[in-house]
Amino acid sequence: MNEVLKVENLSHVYSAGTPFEKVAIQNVTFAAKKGEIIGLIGHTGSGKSTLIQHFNGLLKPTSGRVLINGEDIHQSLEMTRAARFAVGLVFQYPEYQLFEETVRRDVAFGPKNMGLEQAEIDRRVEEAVQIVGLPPEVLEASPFELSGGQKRRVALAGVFAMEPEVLVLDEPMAGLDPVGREEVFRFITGYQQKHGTTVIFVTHSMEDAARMAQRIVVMDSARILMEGAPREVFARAGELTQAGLDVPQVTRVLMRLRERGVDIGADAYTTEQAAALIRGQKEGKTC
Amino acid sequence: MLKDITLGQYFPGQSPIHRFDPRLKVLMVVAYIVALFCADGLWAYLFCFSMLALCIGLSRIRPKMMLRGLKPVLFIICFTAVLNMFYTPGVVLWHWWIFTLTREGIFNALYMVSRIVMLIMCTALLTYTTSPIALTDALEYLLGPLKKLRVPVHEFTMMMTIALRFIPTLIEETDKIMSAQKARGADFESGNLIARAKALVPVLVPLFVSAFRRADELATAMECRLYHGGEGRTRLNELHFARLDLLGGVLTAACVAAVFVISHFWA
Amino acid sequence: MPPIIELKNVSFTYPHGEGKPESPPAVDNVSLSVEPGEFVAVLGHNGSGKSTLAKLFNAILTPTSGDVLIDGMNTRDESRLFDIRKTAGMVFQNPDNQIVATVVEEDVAFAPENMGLPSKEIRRRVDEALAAVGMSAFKRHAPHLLSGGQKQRIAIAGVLAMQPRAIVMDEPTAMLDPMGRAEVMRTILRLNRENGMTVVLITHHMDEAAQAGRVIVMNHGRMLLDGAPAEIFSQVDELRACSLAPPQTVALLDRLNRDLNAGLPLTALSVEQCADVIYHYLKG
Repeated sequence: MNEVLKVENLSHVYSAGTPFEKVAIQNVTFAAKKGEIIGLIGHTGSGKSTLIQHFNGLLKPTSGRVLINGEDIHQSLEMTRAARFAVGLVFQYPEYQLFEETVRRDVAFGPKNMGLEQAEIDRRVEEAVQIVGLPPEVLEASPFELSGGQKRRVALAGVFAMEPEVLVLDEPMAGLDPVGREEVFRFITGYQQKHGTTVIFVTHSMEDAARMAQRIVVMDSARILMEGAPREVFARAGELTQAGLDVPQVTRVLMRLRERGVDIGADAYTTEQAAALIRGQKEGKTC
Repeated sequence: MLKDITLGQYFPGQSPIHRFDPRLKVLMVVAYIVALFCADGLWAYLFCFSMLALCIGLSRIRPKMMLRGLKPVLFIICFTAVLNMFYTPGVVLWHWWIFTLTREGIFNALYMVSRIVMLIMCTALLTYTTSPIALTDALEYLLGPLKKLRVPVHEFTMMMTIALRFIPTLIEETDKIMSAQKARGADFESGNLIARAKALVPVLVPLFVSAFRRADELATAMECRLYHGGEGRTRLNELHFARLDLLGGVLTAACVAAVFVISHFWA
Repeated sequence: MPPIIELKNVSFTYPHGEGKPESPPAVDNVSLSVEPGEFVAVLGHNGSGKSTLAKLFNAILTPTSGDVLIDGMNTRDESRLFDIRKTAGMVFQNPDNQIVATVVEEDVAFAPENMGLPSKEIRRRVDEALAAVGMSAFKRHAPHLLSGGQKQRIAIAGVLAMQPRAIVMDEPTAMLDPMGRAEVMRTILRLNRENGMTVVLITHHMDEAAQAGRVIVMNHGRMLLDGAPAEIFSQVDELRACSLAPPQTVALLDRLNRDLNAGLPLTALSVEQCADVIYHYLKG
């Protein structure tokens, strides 16, 4: 059983029975394997934020089940609480959740709630802060004195320190400039490699998804529209555009070439891949 | 979820009740409340009730919605009823321990309860049929004379407008912060009162920080849009006193007078 | 016609906290002018000084040295503050924190109300501004129920209702999803092309800057590059040096040039142009 996290026929309806009733997710089945990195894409309102809040039991399914290592997280209160710690959830703009007097205490909030020993808490906090590239002096500083980018790192460290089996991030790079995005990207992959954690991250950016994920899951109108390796997903670029998603520019360039009769495939999403395809074509062989 | 709460409870519409000048509506409600408190006797109450029923009918607000407005005050209504029933001196109908049920008590309870119900309903009707912005405009106008006494009426109504605008935003934010802290293992549901109050710190601190940041940004944005207090400010929708309002005002005055007359002669 | 926005050797240093070392200037000796009808994108990573620059345009900040002139009015002159802000309107990053009222049209009316215009004129301006951003159908809606892109368009309408000569936007799309971003960009382009509105767009999105008529690149408070998008984005190495990635189209052409010595022009910015260049390269 290497499916760490699984949801089966999951549906969630907000405000059921009122005029405001809204089906946020409908009959979604999805599984994440140990150590896998999954990119979850979809435009606002496609249901992805609702879906991830089921992973750690914050939302209760209207129907269907959520399983962690094969066990239903809603079978008992203890299991639901355990799910909170097994699945670490980082919300959008997590820097706005900081509240403690020092960075150390803020990062320790999660581990403390888990009831860990003080020595273990200290070890985790120090490690997490190091993973997000902050110097140890920052530990005793107030999180409110830090810059926006540093606050984001502290917030990430707060969840890293819980050492969850599954790390779920809702748009971890939202609002950051290219440098900031690159850094956050490095911290997440760095943490993932060190702990072999399963990572699921929500993003609007196809480029980020393609670069980071081994598998991409695309959501549209409360359902999973498609899933597969980045290449498989981008090969269906037309459908992605219809679902209101941004397709990387290079993929669009290749699509355009195909329309004009030069079909060298459209499953590239980085400049390197596209350059290789064009090079192959130029040198008279296909990739 | 918290954000499902609808605030202000305004139901847009085109009925005469909706179209009345908000200033007149506020005055009508005040007049009606005065009439309610002066009403005496069954006939006066019935008259007050039919006035209200007529207005509700005209407004096309479903009676079910009107009853829903009573929910928050249900406890007060029951409490008043019990208090009046058992503690009004008069002809004793039933007695047990400290409870003495009197005939006068039953009548009193009925009167008091219907008075409260009508009072709540008529204010509910005001908020159901008047947009919050029209309501604050009306208040600013009606409280206008207080400006002469250096009461900051404009600032007060501006604060109300901004509060109304930001309450849904802040509720949504509270929801989000609570979820985020729950994801870090915060527990808001167990423990005694002190433990629960303490558990709120991780929510309140970020909420205040965010509210101050928003306030700061909003102040800059308002300045950039030339806000400089109430002086010389004009309005998009000026309040107009139309013929319909005159009719409404006269009818209200007549009805209030009628309540006095009925209370005096048929009580 | 004089430039709408003119900066003469402008520097700005944030006042430093007690006991802390003085911070380097956020804006360092910048001179530039924006002509009527221009669409200028100011590009730079966080801390490059681009947001400080935006605040200087609108007299939210006044320069430590040098002068900022808005339609000839010096932002140091407090008596002209009202006119300066009326001339160069400002749109901010977070749409939630710049909407004042609970009804869309009331919010758009906020600035003209502050200007003390007659009710009829306010009505005309509100309707016009909402039409210009394509939000007329939402005028009776509550802003908090709108999408991010819609809210930002309302914020733009709120500024348009002042009938400014220029709009300065400080990262208006940073908090929006791709659909919201596209929506806002379409609105900005239309305002510039159809209404001749002067636009200064502060951004860190390359694809947005590529749509402008002129791009200014800021780095460490200084103005590093200034020119047409095709000209700026073809300077791939300079961009990378200030932590900005060129658009994928240019990066692809650059890659081909480096790997295959293809000699392709780096000025093919749009997907269409880029595909065209590669098409001819492959066929030729």
